[in-house]
Amino acid sequence: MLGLPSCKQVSEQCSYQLDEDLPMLKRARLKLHLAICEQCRRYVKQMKLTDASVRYWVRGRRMPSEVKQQLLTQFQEMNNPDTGKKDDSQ
Amino acid sequence: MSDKLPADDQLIKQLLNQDSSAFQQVMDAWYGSMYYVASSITSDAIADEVIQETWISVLKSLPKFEGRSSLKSWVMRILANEAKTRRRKESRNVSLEQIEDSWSTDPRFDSVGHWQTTTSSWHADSPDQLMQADELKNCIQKHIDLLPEKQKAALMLRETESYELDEICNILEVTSSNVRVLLHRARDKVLQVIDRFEREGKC
Repeated sequence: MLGLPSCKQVSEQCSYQLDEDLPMLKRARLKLHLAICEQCRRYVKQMKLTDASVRYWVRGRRMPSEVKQQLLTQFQEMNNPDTGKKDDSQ
Repeated sequence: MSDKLPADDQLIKQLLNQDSSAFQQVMDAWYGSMYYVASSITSDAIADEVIQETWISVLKSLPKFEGRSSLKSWVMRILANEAKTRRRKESRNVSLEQIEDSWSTDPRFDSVGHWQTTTSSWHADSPDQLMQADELKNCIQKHIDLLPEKQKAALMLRETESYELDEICNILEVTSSNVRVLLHRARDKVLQVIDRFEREGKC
């Protein structure tokens, strides 16, 4: 029918669309399918929310304090090579 | 999760001026992205080591940074290179054919690709509402860890919002159509995990 994608194809195309635009004709057919298919509308919405949630989850990871401390020490020594050396020699 | 960093030129000036609090701020803000990139290219065990090495190279070359990309993209590129040189030799490669196999027999669809089962409607419309439950976060973590290696890596590289698709193809050594398939399968898996949690309240 009008070469519309199947639900299964819609589920793939809506992921592709999160990364880059579909070609115009494909995009139009996807839109048409969504206009008549409630189930796919829901899936597309959930796909977007899933994507946003994974991003949210990624941003939420905290740096372990010992890793941070080590880097800070290195940062300070790097910028003050003299103090670093003095400390070593004492 | 303080994403309110100063603008790049300001930030660079602060870092070059030995401003420790600016350095802490930027380490914190980018840690999540850096961790998941490093761990998906190498492993959880050495991710923090790779991050440390990356920051050291970044600080060393910062005076020469020309600003042709954003500071974050530049850092993330150094990180990906650092991680690639440490990449596990014995990577468990899952072929794309295997992934396609399970997709071709996915029981959610009938033989002509129409839905046979329906997903439930979810209680939340935004990520912060949805991800309030720690159990769900842990559940997502668990299932992302169980994804085939390249699916996981593609998803993590993408969701850190730090790389273009063609950069991801280069890092993972896959074609652009493969990377699209990997991303779809990974996201679809996470979607199903969330859906089950929404329906049954368990992982």
